[in-house]
Amino acid sequence: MNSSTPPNLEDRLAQVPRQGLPEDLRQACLDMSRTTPRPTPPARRHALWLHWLWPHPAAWGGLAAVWCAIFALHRFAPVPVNVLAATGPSTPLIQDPDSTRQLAAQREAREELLRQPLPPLDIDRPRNATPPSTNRIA
Amino acid sequence: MLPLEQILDEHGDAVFSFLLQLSRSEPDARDLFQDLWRRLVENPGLLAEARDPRAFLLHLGRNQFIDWTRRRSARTRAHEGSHAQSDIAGLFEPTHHPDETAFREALDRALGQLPEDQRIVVHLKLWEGLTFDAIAQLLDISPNTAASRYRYGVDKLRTLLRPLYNELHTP
Repeated sequence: MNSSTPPNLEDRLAQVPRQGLPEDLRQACLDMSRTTPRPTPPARRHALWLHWLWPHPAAWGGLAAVWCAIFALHRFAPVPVNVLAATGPSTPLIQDPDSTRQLAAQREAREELLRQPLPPLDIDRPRNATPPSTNRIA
Repeated sequence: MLPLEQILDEHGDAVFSFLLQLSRSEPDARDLFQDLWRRLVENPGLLAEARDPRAFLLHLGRNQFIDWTRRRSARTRAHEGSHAQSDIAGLFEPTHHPDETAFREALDRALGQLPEDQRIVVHLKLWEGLTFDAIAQLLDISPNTAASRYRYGVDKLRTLLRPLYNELHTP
């Protein structure tokens, strides 16, 4: 297919000199390296973080922030009441005076019911006086 | 650790040429190079543990380009104002010889027609002289992928340059 092309095209291409660094840009870079102050240790630590988060620091940083938020919510969110009840609190959970009064009234009613004597239970006597067979005949 | 001036002298041309190949725009390549240099100046320890400083700088340049492309694409969605890319990016040194000028321009134009992944591999192989293993390491791809991209890229260049190349080299 490529028999008409001279075989040394790749060598020929490699010999074409590439464009080098423009002299003005080189000079600007040298000036920058002379004028920029040397980084202090905290700045180096910061740079290390930036290098670690490369190539997209915002994305990695955002992900880290989301995890921190999830951890904080998990750590500091109020615990649900049923979980507290299961763990057996040492102090009463309900501090509302109305609720306390209602609970006391319910407790008194329950004790009153317990105090009343139950009728004696006769297990030999049938519950219904008329046998079901008589109803069917009638 | 090498002094920054020495790094600039030894690797500046290669890194700038690579950035020019990636961006195909000299103003963009200048911006990218300055950003890269600023990072090096502010973090002189970046190169301290690099076994091959040139490969490391090219890798850094590619990351810089990827980051810059993302930022630019986000910006140009709202505001179209980037440097217009011409078909000739000025990848090669100018020359006064008319035939050679025509060939270099044709080569520049042909490189612009290659997909970016092929163009990068062709550049690193032909003008940086890297092995496929080194290219693979630099681009985080397998050596076989690097070799096949190079082969596809060179075949396409051969097809695009064949008429002019034959014309110039016919005795």
